[in-house]
Amino acid sequence: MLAYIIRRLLYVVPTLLGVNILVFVLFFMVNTPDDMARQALGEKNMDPLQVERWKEAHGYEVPLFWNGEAKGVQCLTKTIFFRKSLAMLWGNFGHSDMTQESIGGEIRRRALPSLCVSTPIFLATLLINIILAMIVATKRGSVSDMVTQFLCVALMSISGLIYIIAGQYFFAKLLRWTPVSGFLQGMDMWKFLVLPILVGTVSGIGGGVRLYRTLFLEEINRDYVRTARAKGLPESQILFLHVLKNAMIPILTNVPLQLLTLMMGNMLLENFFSIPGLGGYTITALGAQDFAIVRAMVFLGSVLYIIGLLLADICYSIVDPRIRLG
Amino acid sequence: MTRVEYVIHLKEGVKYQPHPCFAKEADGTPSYKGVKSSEIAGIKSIASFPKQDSRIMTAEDFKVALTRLCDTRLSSPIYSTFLSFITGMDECSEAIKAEVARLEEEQQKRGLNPERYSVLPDYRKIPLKGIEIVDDKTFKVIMPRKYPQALYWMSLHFFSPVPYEALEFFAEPAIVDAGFAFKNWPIGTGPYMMTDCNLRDFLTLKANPNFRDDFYHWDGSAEDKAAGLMADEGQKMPFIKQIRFQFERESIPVWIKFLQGYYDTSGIPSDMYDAAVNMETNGDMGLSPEMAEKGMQMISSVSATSFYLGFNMLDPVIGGMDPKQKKLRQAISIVLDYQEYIDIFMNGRGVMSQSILAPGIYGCQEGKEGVNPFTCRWDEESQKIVRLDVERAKQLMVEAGYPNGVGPDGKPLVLHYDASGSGSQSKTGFLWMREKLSKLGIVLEERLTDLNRFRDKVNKGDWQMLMTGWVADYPDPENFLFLFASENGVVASQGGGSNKTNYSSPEFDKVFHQLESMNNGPERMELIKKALRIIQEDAPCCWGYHPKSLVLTHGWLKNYKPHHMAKTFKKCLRIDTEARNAFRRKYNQPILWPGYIGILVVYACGLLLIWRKKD
Repeated sequence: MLAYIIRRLLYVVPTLLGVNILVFVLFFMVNTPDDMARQALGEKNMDPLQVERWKEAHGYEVPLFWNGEAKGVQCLTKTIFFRKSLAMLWGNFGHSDMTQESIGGEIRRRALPSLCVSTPIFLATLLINIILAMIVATKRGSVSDMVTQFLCVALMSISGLIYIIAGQYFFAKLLRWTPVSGFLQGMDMWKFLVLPILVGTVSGIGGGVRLYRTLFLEEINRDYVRTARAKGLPESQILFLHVLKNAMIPILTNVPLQLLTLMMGNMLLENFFSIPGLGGYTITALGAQDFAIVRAMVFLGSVLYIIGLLLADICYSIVDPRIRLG
Repeated sequence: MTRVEYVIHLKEGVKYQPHPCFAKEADGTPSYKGVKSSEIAGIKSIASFPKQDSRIMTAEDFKVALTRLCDTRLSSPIYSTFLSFITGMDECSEAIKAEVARLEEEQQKRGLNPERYSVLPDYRKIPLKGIEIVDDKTFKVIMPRKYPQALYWMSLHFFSPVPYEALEFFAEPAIVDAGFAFKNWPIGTGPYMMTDCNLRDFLTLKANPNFRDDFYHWDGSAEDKAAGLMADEGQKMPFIKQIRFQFERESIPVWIKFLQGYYDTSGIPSDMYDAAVNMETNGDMGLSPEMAEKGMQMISSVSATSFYLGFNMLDPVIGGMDPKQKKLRQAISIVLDYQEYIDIFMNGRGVMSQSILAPGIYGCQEGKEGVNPFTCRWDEESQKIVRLDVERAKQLMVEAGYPNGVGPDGKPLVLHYDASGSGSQSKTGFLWMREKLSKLGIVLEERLTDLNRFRDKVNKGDWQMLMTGWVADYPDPENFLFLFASENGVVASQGGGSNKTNYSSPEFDKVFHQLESMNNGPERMELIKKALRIIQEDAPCCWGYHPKSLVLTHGWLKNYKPHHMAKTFKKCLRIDTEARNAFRRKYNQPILWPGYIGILVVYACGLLLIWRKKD
């Protein structure tokens, strides 16, 4: 197992380097530093002198990959690739192009609000999905199964934006039960989290119930379930002790993949509910065309996804001993 | 004239806000010089530093501010403008560059990374010919030419005094490590000081205890008096003790919070327009009865902004100064009825332009006087400006050599509209334009590109028609008319100018250069009229519209009158907190009965299930 983990960790290094190069090429080949300067300066300050000064002030005045004017190792280090992209590999995300604030500092500050919203949503959605899926799986073909499936498809078909706007309209504006949006640190935080968590949970139910129902149905029809029933075990014991345990393997192995969503937050939710998390940070940066932040968030997202995949592989080998990793 | 001096006398006793940069120990050394990170751990706001002090503003602070703008590392957006009228900015910039290089070398030797900890040149000692300190309270700004608009530039925040102690404080490595930066924590002598700075979430300003004696005074009209804008005459400002700016990313939550009384003012989201605005029978806009009942007010004002459809004067078809080409542009300008555009696409929130000058700017004539005779006429019956008939446009097309839109080659005239946006608003706007031009037989095609390519096209003059605009920097006609000066042509100046249409007319240039450095008066007014008439006839643009902003305020917010130039009116605002609290109590009581019904339904369902199971 240890050898497997070490080998996978070694795979991560070239993957991250590849992602880093790809992100750099995508951002800088499509959008040159001159373009970035002009976008940041706006219509009124487009003269070449201002563009050059902006590039100099933001560290974009050097060549992209190779600095022919520099000497020695500086040919490589005095480049935009080294300064702005490669530095992300050792956790230096640089500074925002617009406000010059430290991106690393902002990521650290915003991770907690994102987790405060996304963790309860993730746990509540997982729990509700499993319970509902198990109930409808045992009643396959019944009216309640069909009604639930219909509702699930309906829930999946509605855009996430509608849940947010409707939630804000009914619970905050009409019934005045919760604040419309905002965020407070400390004990009063829950007041602002109730509505986004409710909205996030409801919007995540449809697809999850359908997926888990399929997983449970596969298990319910297996021989060991038939044997358990023949032995006269109560239905609840069969479901919770045997079916759930086996169906949880694919569910649990998917959990680490959610690391990305947990950490990066939900862009729409955070934006509409003014939660100072990473999702809102990314979407604001996109709107302001702050490419330094967008680049950092894309790279961070890739890193988290790679870590999630690694954890998923490890979980898989732990929860299912039949799987042998060579 | 080669040297113009402005002598500036500072008011006596103007003090800075309390700030840790001024705090000193008994021996006179700054309290935070060489401070260690552990000593300031946990401090999140400049206002939370335990040691604070202040001092009187001096002339040297203005020298520091102006010299600092020459530092290339700042990338100040105002540098190019100041360079054009303040002597010695470029030389100063070079001197700073050399000094920065020297300091960085020294710093590297000390083992400090200059990229992380920026070096600080002593701006007090670096010479700048454009500023001369006479004494502590007096300084001169020296210019190579007469430029009256300099006063407007000097009233902008770029010219605010900067105490050198503040720059030293923010250059301390521990202060940098703690995340404090001068650009995010401004220091000043004004009515408010920043106490929370969270750029992407919120900002908090608190009343500056050292603010000078400044008393409310308003030379308003009878209308202003009736609106209660003079009720606080003679009272000391500021009235509000704390202002919090919340960064909201979406318009609907802002609107709901405004209705709930958590925001004092709000714009009107387009989706909520019908709920907030009542169109009167005469076309005027009024507040809806529901809003008026809650004590809200609607304040509308025309902003000092011009939007217009530009024609590329370098284009062989649509551009050029030949009479035929002028007539083609005039014909197009007649059929593009921007009053209709305002009514359809902007809910009436705009004023149709007759020239580049926005209402309120000196030289902008309104009503009958201001009619652009080449595209519009005054309608006595409605007492409004209306577009000339389409027949006149068709006649102009014939004179331009395009009868029914057909050119000398027998083919329909095809024009191209260049744009960078692909949103629904721009698409419908284009369709409206195409439909209007089809009345003249002109075929309009759209050429969409991303913003960067679009800017490249503008810089190279590779376009025919585009929509553009200008927001005034200061309330002077020069700030609009310079958009048509030959030397500012985007192509001619290789992207350095703002004359996007690349219009070039020696006649206009002559008039413009006469009026640009003149003080307002009858002579200047005549020249402005002449300049406007030249560009109205040459039609390098189809004059579009000046947007109107609508702001809703709650009744408890007093002394509010928007100003599109000055941002310093916060000190005049007053809030009736009792009225605000009463409103919040009245309109934010939770409605609980649906919740009780929900609980009952769940309870009943539970009972039903138990009963069925028992049965």
